[in-house]
Amino acid sequence: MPAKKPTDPEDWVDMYGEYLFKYACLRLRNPDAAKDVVQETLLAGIKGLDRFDGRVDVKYWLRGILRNKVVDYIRKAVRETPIENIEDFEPSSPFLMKHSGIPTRAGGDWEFDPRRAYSNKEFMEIFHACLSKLRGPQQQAFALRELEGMKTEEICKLLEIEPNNLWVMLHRARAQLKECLELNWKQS
Amino acid sequence: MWTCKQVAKSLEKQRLSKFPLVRRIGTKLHIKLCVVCGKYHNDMVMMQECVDCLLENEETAGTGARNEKLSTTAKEELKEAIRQTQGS
Repeated sequence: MPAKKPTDPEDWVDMYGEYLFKYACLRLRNPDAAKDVVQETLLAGIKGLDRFDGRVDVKYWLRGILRNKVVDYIRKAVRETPIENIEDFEPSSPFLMKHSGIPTRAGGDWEFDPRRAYSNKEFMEIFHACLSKLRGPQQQAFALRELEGMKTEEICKLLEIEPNNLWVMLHRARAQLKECLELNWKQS
Repeated sequence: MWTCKQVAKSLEKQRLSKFPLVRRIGTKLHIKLCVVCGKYHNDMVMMQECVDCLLENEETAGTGARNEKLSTTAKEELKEAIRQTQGS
């Protein structure tokens, strides 16, 4: 397959800016931070253009740089504002956790079947809005695990937490999202 | 037969959709049969499927929150930053 030629950096904002911005917004939930990391990405792309080998499209090459910038941003945010009261993220049922690997008791059944709603554009917009309501360590943990697919060990090192804390954060994030989806999807 | 703890650890480490076929079938079977794990992991798997769909849409339809658009001012600032970098 012939190597892909890089496009002119002056065109990158118009060609890839929206895509990169949406990517960053989804993971950081902060438009100002998203714009900053997109800028850092584009400038890093210009500096590294001589190393671009054309194996992938420039769009995805820039996305790869952006992914690292997003992770760096989260790492820096954690250092500047360490998690307080980490004991809040201990499993509420240590016995249950020890024997089943589940941090807390499960909630009720879904009030609708999400599988029937996935293909609905309005459902996805509601999901985006619900993601925006996640805050702090739970939002970071969810973004790194579910959106970036990072491993437990990597996330724990980055957030400076133990695996049990991570699992509690993820469980709470999922519970919060479920509640938000049930409320807003029913209303729509 | 997978134990509760094995299933929990597997799902926490990796998405169900990425499991090898045999492990995926075994895990789904466990979730169906085990009441304790069933609800908890059903929630987890539903959410993972939801995110998978979201990430697929990220590439194609580009759906997002309605206010997640780069303003004209922001685009100009980015272009100016690029021009300055290229000029230096």
